[in-house]
Amino acid sequence: MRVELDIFSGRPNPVWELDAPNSTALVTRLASLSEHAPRAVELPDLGYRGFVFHAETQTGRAWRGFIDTNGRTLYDPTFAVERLLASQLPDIWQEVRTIVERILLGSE
Amino acid sequence: MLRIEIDMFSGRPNPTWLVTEDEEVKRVLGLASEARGAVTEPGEGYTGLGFREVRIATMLDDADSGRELTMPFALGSSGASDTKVSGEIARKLIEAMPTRSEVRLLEHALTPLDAKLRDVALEWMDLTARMPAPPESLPSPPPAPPKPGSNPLISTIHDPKCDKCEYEVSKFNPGFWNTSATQPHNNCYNYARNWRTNTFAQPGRAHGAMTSTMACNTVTTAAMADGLKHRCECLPATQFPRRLMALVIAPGWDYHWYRHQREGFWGHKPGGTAARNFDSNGVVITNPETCARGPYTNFCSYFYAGKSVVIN
Repeated sequence: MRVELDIFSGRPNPVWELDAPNSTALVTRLASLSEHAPRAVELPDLGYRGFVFHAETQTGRAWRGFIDTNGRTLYDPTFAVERLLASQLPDIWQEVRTIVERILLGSE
Repeated sequence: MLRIEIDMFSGRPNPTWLVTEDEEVKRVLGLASEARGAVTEPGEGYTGLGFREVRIATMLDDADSGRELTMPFALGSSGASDTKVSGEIARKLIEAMPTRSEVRLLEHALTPLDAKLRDVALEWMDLTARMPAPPESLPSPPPAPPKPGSNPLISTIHDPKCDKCEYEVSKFNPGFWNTSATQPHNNCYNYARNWRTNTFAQPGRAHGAMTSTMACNTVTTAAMADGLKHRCECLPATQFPRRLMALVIAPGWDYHWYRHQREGFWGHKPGGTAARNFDSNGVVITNPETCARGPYTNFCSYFYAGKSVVIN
């Protein structure tokens, strides 16, 4: 599964392939979440705009506890999906990972 | 500024070059617009292997293609109602190709614009021309009457911060950028310079001067390697169109650019997201120094970008 952290404006966003075990964990987590009305808040123009994931059968964006995927909005009150994806950011993006984890902490 | 591409390859990049000189742009557009029936929309003719067509597109969101031309368009296409004239104009463009590599593109590494390639392109064009005509070909619509005067989308204004300097502002045109083919591949630097490279352009990269240090001074140095000038270092009229750009920094992380627009506000395009004219609070941007910018807390400076600024 291909994952992109949508956070930059000028530089290319971090993009990486999620390994099979974590891809499975993500799909399992998504299946456990309940559906929610579409969120009313627009994505910010600058800064953290969430994680975008692309798999063969499922694409979506996880941002601040909501996941838009395959035409539905899921509610993720513990930010589990974003935490999972943040934890899998490649080490080259370790400092970005720290920033995102702080953002997620502040969103709780 | 025009981008010309000979659509002929399947795997390697097509021969592609840029026309930056105003006179040559006018000449190419003049040839196309005066030849009734020579122009088609891209992809209307032969779409098989080998030479298909020569595609012409603008790289600017405020380009005035003039008269009856709608961008992008194609020449040398079997879909043209006048394939003979269309082929003749395409041939002229291809023949000039070896002289057109002064603006380096990434494609040139794999597809250098040399005489050998020119000869192959001409040979392949002839091969395609000898193929049986498609069963139906739609006639081109009649040309619209010419528009008088200069580009109606661009205005020249005096810079209120520096008496003697002028620059150009253009009509806000987010629709140019916010398409599935363009939006993901162009960023704030593309937007502010007004050049759709489709490469997610980086300051300095076109000139071997890219930086990985995200600070005002480093990104400024990289951008100036591309040809940007500090504000109030007036650009001559020969650099038309001259943009006013503003640089901000998320210290240590990223940079962001804005462009002054004719309506008085500033436009920007955050990364692969949509071009817009409002800030992080949803407020129309009248001042990039004070608008809401999220983590891009450092306002660096303003710059002029004339037509000679090349980005990639």
